[in-house]
Amino acid sequence: MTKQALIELKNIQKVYSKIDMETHALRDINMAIFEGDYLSISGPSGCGKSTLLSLLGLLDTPTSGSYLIKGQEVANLTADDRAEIRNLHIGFIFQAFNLIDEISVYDNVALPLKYREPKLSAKEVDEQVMSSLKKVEMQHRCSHKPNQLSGGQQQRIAIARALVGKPSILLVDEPTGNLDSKNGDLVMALLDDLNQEGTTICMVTHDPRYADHAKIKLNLLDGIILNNIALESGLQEAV
Amino acid sequence: MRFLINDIKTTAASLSRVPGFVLTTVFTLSLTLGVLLAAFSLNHLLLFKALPYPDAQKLILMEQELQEGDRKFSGSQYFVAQKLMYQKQKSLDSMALVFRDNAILASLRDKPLTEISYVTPEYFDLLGVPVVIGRGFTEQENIDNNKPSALISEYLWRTQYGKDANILGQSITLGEQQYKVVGVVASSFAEPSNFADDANSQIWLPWDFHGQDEESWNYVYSATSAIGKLAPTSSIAQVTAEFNTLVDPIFQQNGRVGKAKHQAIVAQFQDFQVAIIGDNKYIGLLVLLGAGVLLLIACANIVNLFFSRAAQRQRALVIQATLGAKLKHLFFDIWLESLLLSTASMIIGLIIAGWSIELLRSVASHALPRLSELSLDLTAVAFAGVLTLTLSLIFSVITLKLINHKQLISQLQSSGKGTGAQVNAKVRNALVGSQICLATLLLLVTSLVMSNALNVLNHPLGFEDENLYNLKLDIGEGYPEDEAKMQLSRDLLAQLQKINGVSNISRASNPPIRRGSNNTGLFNNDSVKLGHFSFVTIDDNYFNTVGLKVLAGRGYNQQDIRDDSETIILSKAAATKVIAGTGDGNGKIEDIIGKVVYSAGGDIWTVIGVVDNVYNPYNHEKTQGAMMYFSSSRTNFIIRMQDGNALTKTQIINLLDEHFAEVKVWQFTSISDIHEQLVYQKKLTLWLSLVLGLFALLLAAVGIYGVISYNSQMRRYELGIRMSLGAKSKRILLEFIGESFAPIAAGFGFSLLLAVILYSFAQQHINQWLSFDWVMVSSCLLALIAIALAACYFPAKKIIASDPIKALRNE
Repeated sequence: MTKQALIELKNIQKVYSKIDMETHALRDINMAIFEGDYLSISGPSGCGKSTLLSLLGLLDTPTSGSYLIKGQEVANLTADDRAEIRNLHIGFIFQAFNLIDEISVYDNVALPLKYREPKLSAKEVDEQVMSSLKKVEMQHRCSHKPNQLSGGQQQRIAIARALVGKPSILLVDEPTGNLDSKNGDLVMALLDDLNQEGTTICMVTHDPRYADHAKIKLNLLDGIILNNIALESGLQEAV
Repeated sequence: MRFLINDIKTTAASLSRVPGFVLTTVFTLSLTLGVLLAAFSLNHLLLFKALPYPDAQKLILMEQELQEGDRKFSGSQYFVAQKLMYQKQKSLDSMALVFRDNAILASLRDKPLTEISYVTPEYFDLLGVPVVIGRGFTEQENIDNNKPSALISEYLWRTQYGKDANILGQSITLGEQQYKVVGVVASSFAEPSNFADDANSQIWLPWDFHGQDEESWNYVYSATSAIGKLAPTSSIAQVTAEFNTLVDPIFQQNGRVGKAKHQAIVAQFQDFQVAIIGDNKYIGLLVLLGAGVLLLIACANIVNLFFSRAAQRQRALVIQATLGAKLKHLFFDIWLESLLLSTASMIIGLIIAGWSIELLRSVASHALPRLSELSLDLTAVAFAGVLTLTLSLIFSVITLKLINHKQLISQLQSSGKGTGAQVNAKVRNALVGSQICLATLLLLVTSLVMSNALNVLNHPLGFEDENLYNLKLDIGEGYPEDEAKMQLSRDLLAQLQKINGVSNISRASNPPIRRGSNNTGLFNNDSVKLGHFSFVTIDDNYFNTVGLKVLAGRGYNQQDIRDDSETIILSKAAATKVIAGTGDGNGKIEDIIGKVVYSAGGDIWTVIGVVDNVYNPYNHEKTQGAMMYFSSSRTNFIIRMQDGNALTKTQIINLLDEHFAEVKVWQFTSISDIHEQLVYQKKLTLWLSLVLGLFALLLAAVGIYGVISYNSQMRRYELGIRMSLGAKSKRILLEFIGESFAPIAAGFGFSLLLAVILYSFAQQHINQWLSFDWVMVSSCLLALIAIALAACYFPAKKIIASDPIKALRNE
């Protein structure tokens, strides 16, 4: 029996149109991500890495092509339906952390649960937030504001926020881009541990050292996937 | 200098690429500065500018106050007291008497009714009256010399005498008296406006010819006044004491007796400038306050525009910072841009202020004193210059404070992803709150002023003023005997009735509504005052002609008129007051019929009827329709025309020429015109308030929308994060509106608090200008809430409608 892909992209194109020119950010992308996968997407600046990640995270819409999550077509859903899928299935970790400075660490982590429907009880929210913070060893900072923390700590909070809703996949955009090497290594170790525990991860990175942490490496150039290499035997190759 | 010119050119070129920003800023600022400069000029004139008379600071206005128990009456003078002071005083350098009246200038073909000032010779020196040719009055025209000299105005000389160089020595005829012209008063003379709302004398005559009884203590006059110039060693208190010593004892011996026997007369002397300006300084300050609030709203708008502009210029600022620009260099760049915009706004603002002043002079000259002197002078220009410089500095400093220099540098090190230049959330909230607060406050105040004006404008008169005319005739000296006057009155009535289209006609001392009033007190048998009411003397057909319903008892009949019966008819409001005063009956107006009331002088009147109220817009807030009617026949007529038939002055003149050659038309006006004149000030107030309110609403709408829209732009990134975490659009929208409404609610709350404080203050000082109306106030609040909601909804909706990645990338 063929294992169902968690995420499947078929002939995905992304074109940015301006009055006098069209830019093909992604061309004919076909790929699949299965539960437990750890992918890295690499390539030079402007190759379409972040665009691909945005499409994967339903933050952006493809110009054409098909996008399936657990077999369900999501490319043409309404904004609210896509928001619900993001909330239930996807956790984001950004290069710039994207924490909201005006609210506490606790509230930042609790945000995805706040948007969940049906609503969770305060006790459930509290348990999940504290558990998530514990995973990244930041539970003692829950009442701080993000801008009172170091970059490494902020990224750990961002990871906790990504994990709190128990998503199907973590989409990670240059997670070490704003960190020094020591903090970068710590964050990568954390991601490795999460994958070991079964979390599916798709990561965009410039850094070949960190790309090597992934089990599958995709190289992008001018919006086209050049190769995909399964670093561990037994894993499905992307189509 | 070359660098400066280059910088200016560069800044101008940079601004030319953002015409929307430039137009919005200059439009908002210039319009507001124009209004503010006009308000500043008005207040400078009213509060600080010296009167245009020699030694103006030594001039005093000398009026009398009549006391009757606890009540005090001002505004009316005893001639005899004035003359006594004029002849006997020692504490003044000089004193002039003035009496204003109208007379028919019979020596001109169209016999116009002309404004006259009867003055003593000192008037010309005290006020420094400029004379084009000839002279002012001298000792020859002094009191009791009865020398028939006259000065005419330059306007009259130009328009009626073709600037005749030989005007001096020519005769003019007023009524039946001839006067020899001795001078022409220059049009630059600013006649003191405390003598009349819009003093505009065309002829000046010696005091002796005023024609009033100046020896009697029986009459007081409102059109008379006196001006004094303090001696170097004297004070107002000393002159007051001198008057009280000189006049009151004589008044006590010879003054009025009867029901009002406890009256006293005391001096009410005050600084001439204070007397002229009076309560109008509050109106001026109210206008200035309104303009100031408008400026604050405009400034909040412009600060917001500068924030957006700074965000636009962020890249250029970053590059400048990369190349080593220090804070002061960036400040200079921002300030230069701000200065250019403020200067352009000031120039346009000065032009708008000039127009506003012209408009004010043309529409409000009879409502505010000294408006003929109002102009955009050097002080106003200097104020505009200082204001421009200050505003440009304020805008630059605030903008620079919000562009964190360190943050600019740090942005050079980032990848360019993430947020742009952000203004602190507290500052954004403060901007939103202050915009709402100021706009609400201004709208509330204008709505209170408008409510009051609308109350007066919409109040029914109590009768139909269409097709109704007032005709006042000058019968000359040919009918000295009462019987002859009565016969003439009957003959005139008979002839006027023959005019085609006349449906009804009546004789009355005055039209049913007018500026000013004749008042007298009513007392009971125990000298207890029952009320103080306006009165009109009327004939038997007055109520029919005007259209007033007799509610109880009866109207006058011909017998009453012939017998000059000692009867009185009261309006419903007056009857109610009298009944309350007597405590008789059970409060029904019918109960007053047959009751006897007394005048201050002891006259006895029997109440024979009660009629509907007439609401005179001139004083209806005070009188509430209270009015009395006495029987009499005069040569003043109220004429009701049939529908579709107008009455003209020419028709009247032709009729008089044919049948009564010696009788002249003194005044002919339709009651609708009188009504229009009476409500003119309220209409003006209404329109000015409406324009100010709409302008405030427009500014507030632009400002609130701008600030909240900017707020949403600043939160775009945060909204992007929330969307990426799965928040649905409705949820984000509701949260955004809810959060944005916190400063809006605070602004509303604070403005309501301020409005309550201001309203309490205003009720004590400028009550006649304000009245509360829930509908008006609620409408203003709803309008602002709708604007605020729209300002929250649309920009946020736009962000939410696009893909979250655009918000996250700040695209």
